[in-house]
Amino acid sequence: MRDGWAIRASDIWKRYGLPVRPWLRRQVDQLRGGNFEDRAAYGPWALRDVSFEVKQGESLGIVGKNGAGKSTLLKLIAGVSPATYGSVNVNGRLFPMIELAAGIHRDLTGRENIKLLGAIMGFTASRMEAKIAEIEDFAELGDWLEKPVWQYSSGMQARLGFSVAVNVDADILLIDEVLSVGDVNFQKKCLNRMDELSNSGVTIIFVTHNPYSIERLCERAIYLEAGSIKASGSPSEILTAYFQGALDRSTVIADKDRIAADLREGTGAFRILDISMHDPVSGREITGFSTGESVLVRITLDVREPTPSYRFSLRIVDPANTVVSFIDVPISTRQSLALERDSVLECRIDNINVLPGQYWIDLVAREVAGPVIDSVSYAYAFSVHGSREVIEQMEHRGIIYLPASWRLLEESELERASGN
Amino acid sequence: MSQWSNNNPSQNTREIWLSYWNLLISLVSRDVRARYRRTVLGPLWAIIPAILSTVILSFLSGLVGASSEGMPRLAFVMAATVPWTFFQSSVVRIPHGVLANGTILRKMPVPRQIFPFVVLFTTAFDFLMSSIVLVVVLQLFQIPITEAWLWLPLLLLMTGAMAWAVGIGLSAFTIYRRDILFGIQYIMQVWLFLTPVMYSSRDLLDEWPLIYTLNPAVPIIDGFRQVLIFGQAPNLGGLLISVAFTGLVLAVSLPFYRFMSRYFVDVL
Repeated sequence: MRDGWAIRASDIWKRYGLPVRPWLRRQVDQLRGGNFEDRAAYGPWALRDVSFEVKQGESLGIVGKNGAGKSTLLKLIAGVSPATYGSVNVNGRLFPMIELAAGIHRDLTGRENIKLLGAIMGFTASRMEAKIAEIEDFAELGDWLEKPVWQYSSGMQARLGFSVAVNVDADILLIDEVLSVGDVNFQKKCLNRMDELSNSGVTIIFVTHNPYSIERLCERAIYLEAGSIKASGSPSEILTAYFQGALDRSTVIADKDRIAADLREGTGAFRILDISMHDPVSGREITGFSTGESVLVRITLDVREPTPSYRFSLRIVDPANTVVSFIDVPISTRQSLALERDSVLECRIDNINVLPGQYWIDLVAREVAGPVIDSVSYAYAFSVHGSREVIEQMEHRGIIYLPASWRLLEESELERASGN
Repeated sequence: MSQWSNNNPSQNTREIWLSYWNLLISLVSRDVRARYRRTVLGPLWAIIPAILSTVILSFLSGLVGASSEGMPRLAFVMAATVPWTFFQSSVVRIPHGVLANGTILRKMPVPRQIFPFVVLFTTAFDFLMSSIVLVVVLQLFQIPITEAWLWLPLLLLMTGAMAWAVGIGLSAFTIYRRDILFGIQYIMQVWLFLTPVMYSSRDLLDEWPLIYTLNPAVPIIDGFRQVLIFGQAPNLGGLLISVAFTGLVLAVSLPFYRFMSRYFVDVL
């Protein structure tokens, strides 16, 4: 509170297991003929040389793939596991919401568990007594509070844990993927509560696989890869970096020949050989364009059997695998797309009004009322850049761009509106 | 919360101790309540082990014709069995108790030293319940309550301390490797036969004076019997040996436990 920082991590390295004592170190050095201070040789490191600072009231998101060291980092901050080198300093009362079921006893009732969790968090009995009504209210479990927890659904258990967590007066909250539980209404309630806490000056460290919740909740983010900080900055910058990593390894049609195409599922009446995107004016191939532009998608088909009628769909997916848009051939147009010989199918998309970022196209062709003919997931990757207006309006949030304009109503218009 | 490890300005020492206390009580009450909740006999299980052990050991004692120094055998054996059961189940359960709270230890920075105490308090609860039965049995055999009974709190404390010292040493090792979980039952059985529970301490002194002197459980367990059955003070010299033993074990096991429990997350 005084210094303005909440968490300070300096040069932390973490290796799991018991620490190597100095005398053992010397022995190992002699055996290997190496130098123990050569850290690379004495892994595996869960974290390597991680430093960052979180200000009070700031919300920081941590993204990274499985095994990147996110949970390890939270454990170090929470103080349940010591750093091998370096130090983590915490200023304020911290509550780790890492796996909320920890500490819940299945044979006790919900109410007994609330008190137990409070005790585990370090509350005195009298403080907990003062909090309990609020917690029970938030959990919305009603009569279930009298029942043993083993009868609860997993969502109800999570509600119990979460309700305790967000109603204790912590200065710093560590949150690890806990929002993926509970029904939609409860998730909304949790997100709102986090906003409230964040606005009231609580520092939040948030770890997730769902990139949109980072955008929703965090002011700043860091991207961990293989135990090191790969990037640090605004959520949108981090998400771009994160997905760039994902994009490089995508399967943008690797098998562009007939033989490889035949290995795919489907009846194979025709096969998708290639896909490309083109500028509608110049006709040249592009892989990136701006929000709101139009684009042509051309799909090269290798036709084995004449196919008079079929369904063909483009699916535009974002890196979180959300289907942003689904584009099927309308019934009225099907007749005109009858396939006789190898052909190129063209689809014109007007106004791609999506958030700047990375997207993929999935392709699926199927019989009108029947099996799949051919399908390619992640067939094509493209990126969308935002124009200045788009970025100003959306601040890198949301999924679609709705062109909008703002003004104040004139005096005369107000009268008309109220007289109505 | 780092309430535990952090020196937060808003918190005074008293409040920190109160939260320690609340955690201890909450965990003990969780264990006491939850343990028997899904049983038919329920809380009776707190006293059944001591009663059954008494019956079995009295039977064995009679079978081998051990002396009960002229006192009713059942009361004579029970006076030593009840404290022994407290000692044994504490030693056996402390390592289990630490492991069983692994989910909490892995997620929350709670003070690690508290878990052995939780087990100790839980087994002490069983001990107190069994003691009620013991007092009833003593009354049945018309063995009087004397002022020597004032020694009992001290003896209880010493039993708990010794079990704690041994138990945390075993826990520290158990965090690293699990062998002790399998072996401890048998070690405690051997220890039971080397302690005057089903026979009299005089016989032990006559037959195996070395074990009588070296077994640190002898002065305490026999002390209970001297107080309860004979209304006499325990052997003070012997008790000093027990205290010394507890101190020695603690000097090794406490630092060991503190070290290992820091790395609980890393190796468990």
